[in-house]
Amino acid sequence: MANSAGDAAWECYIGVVSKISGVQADKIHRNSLMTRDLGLDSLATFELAVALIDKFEAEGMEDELDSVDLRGLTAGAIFDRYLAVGPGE
Amino acid sequence: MHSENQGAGADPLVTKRAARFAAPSLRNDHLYLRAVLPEDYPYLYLVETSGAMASRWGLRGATPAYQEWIQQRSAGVLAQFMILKAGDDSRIGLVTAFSADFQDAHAHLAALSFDPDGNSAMMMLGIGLFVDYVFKCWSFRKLYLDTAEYNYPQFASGADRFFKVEGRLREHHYLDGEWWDHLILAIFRDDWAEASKLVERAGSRRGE
Repeated sequence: MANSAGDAAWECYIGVVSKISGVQADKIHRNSLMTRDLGLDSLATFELAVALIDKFEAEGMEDELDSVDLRGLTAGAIFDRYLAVGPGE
Repeated sequence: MHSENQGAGADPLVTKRAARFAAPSLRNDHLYLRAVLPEDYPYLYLVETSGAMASRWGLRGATPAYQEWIQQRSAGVLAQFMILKAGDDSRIGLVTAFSADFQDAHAHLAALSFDPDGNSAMMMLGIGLFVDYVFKCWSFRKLYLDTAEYNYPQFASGADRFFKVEGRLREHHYLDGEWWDHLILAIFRDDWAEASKLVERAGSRRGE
């Protein structure tokens, strides 16, 4: 159960990643979440990035992207890296 | 659609169609495509002969003389662009349409990522923008991509959604002591519409 904006963003993020990767949400851990670890190739990573944009927009949580910490990279940094959609750009 | 209006004034139907016309775009909010310039040549030569992809891409490990490479690289090319990141203009990759067959309405595509280990969604976005551009500029029905089997895992998830696997030449390539199949992939114009929407969505900045 989400108890903070960060947790809500994390759940939102994991839901999308699970759907795209086919990996069960409870098997995805914060310290092992990278697209390659999840078996995503370039096209699937592209689809993941688009799905994340759509989901966070739909949930009105665009500003929460930075609160999701992924092995030292924030979700915003992931966006920067993969699709250059970092907050503040 | 043609109308009977042969006068000097603008045909209302044409005016309406022209208002809907959108010129093929080479740019979105994240990246842009620009023609290859002579100042790109040294970089491309090094990438193609000495980079991480050198043995896996066109030259397959060979190192032609620089001037020879320059002369050969534009043979049969219909359109070719560098993919550059908006903002810092860093190079992401190279996309090429070549061997166009206008009678039978197909052409070949090639794409080279300058960061082959990056699993870059940006590269995919650049390729998508280029495919959009080619389908809008020319009436091709199919765009072929040839790839060696060892490169295929980089984008295999797109099979039967973004492209179809149409042919396989068994053990066609040799690399690192092993024989690899050669795959012939095809992007169909009729199937591209959905992918094009994805490219358009991805190309817009979030929240704008």
